[in-house]
Amino acid sequence: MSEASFPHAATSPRERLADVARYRPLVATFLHRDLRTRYLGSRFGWVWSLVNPLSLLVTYSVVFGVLLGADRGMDPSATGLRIFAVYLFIGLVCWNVFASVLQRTIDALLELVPLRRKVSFPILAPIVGMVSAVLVERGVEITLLTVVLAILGNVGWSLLAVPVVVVLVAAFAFGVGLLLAVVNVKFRDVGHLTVVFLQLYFYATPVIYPAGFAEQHLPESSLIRTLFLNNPTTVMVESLRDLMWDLTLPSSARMAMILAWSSLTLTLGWLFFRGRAARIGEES
Amino acid sequence: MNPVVALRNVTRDFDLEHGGGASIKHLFLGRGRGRSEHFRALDDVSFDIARGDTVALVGHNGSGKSTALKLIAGIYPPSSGSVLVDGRVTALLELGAGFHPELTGRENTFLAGALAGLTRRHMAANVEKIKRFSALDEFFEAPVKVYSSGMFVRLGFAVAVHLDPEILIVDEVVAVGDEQFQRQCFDHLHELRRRGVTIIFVTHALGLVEQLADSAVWLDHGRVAMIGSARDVVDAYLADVNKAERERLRRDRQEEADLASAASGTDPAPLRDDAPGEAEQGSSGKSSRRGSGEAEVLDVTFHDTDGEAIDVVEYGQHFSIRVHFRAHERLDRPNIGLGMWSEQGWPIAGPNTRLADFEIDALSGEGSVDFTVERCPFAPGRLSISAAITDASTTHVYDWREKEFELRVVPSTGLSPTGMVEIAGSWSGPRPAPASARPAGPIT
Repeated sequence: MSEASFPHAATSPRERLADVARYRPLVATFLHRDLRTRYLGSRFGWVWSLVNPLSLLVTYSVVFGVLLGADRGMDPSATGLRIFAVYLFIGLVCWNVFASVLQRTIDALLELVPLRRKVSFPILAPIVGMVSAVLVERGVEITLLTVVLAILGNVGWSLLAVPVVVVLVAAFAFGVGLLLAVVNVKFRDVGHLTVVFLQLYFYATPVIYPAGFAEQHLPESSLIRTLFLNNPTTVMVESLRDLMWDLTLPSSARMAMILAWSSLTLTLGWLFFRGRAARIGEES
Repeated sequence: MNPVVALRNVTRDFDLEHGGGASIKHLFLGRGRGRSEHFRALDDVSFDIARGDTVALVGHNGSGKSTALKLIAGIYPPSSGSVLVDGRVTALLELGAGFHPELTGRENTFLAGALAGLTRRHMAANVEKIKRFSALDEFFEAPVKVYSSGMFVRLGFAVAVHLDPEILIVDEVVAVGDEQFQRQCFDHLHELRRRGVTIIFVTHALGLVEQLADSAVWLDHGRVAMIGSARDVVDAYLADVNKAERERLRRDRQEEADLASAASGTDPAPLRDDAPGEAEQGSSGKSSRRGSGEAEVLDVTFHDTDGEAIDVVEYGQHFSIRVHFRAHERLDRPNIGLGMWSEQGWPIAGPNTRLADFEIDALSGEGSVDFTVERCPFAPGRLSISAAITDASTTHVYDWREKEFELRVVPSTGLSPTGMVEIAGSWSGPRPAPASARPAGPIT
């Protein structure tokens, strides 16, 4: 008998991208499960996902705007807005997309390993579901930010391009996440290292300070300056600020760079993941 | 034959790593050869499983049974060779694997369905059946973290068997739950089997193998030791287990004796003849022939009232079982006996001449003895027949051919009995209850 008489080896442990589409209910179930269990048992449930960023925004306004007086020294937005907390929050939203997708991808795979040892299923599908749940939460944050911007009158057509940048940031983080997640299954240190790395990386990215601020202090044409300015998250945060603060489209150089980073890490991450995923079930 | 599962020269190795720090490099470089030890769980294993068959994998612990199941279930790939599977596989490697503690039984049911690649609509159509099967009632709507372990397992089984499997893989999991639930599980497995679901299972309950499986694969240290009908494989496997057991006992006693002699410094202690377990417990090793050979059972045939040889016997038919013998010397007052075994390997009856006070003076040369049955009481099916010639005390066996013959009983017109045999008896009544001791409720 030839292999041809087995037209669809249903349990092939090989990962295929098409399985994510074929197992849509699996993606949906994990998305739904994560959203549902996150605020399960809390009285106000979903309200918390609004309260958390809102309280942060208020805190920043008080600390940076009132106490540190950052509002006065900053460059105004397209509509002349001078509220540092809002400026900061745009960067923070972008960073949160990156950090939470990365973190969730790593944790998601780790969570699925014991399950994958007992049930065969395309492991990418639930990861996509869990990461989507994180994106939904980020979406709430971004919507909230947009509402605040609208109230302050800082709106323009460029806001329509926000989802594009957000998706690219998420893709970048997901690619890196897949790579690290696979390694983390075997070497748990990777997860802990990632936490430390993210803390440092946060300050290497112009989130709580304007990019220009660092540019002024870094020596001209030095390596560290080049690295800082071309750091993918710097470019991403700056692009989102272009869209939401300056209400212009990012330069095509910026967009090309984001696109390049996202497609590169996504491709590498997926290839590495696909190569190792079939053996996830035997890892401990 | 139309195989739905085929293993072709499948070998599966595992790396038992000894914390080599360098292996993170191997991870990136692919299959680097690190300081790891290889363990070969399956070694060049090949077998086919036909659609609708129920197949048991038997073997010692660590013989590779579970590895084989996991390969078929697609948990991980083989190291070499190919595993071909045609159909939706549901694997019951652990009941309730994948349940999320915070979600309710109902939500977890949908989760399990999604893991199996089923649509929400399919699960919605089955969710009430699952609820009923699991008998969880209102707990079905409670988070599974509040379940007792029994409830957890019940839900796990209920969900798994309703995932519309074409191939069901069961790894020793039905040995959980209470008596009633176990019966329910077995009933359902039988039901799935009737529906044409291919079932592959691992169990150490050999009775279950004979009861449930059509065929069996015996794995020994990762290799296929035997493939055949469930009964043949179980018999061979049991014979092997018993042999090993006797061997072990003998060795243990030898060691004990050696120890004792070493300790006392005198003669070896006499071997105890009454050691438990020694008494030929293994000689129930079935489908085997034993005896001293002064007389032989040549054959067993079946005959109708006219003495004509018949292949099959109708239920309720008058027939005889003829034991053909050859005695190499004159044997006084022998005892000739038969054994009848159900398809599941359970003993049904064991008539012999001594029990029937039917005295045979002596056997010599060739001849035959008939055991006549007025009405064949056996339910339609295949019975294994054993035949034996022993001395009057039945302690000395001339020839004993265990389960070497087969009697096929076919249904006759009319109803067939429920169970394995029809028992003689008669009904009478109805009579009114005595007035003094009338029970409170009506009994019909």
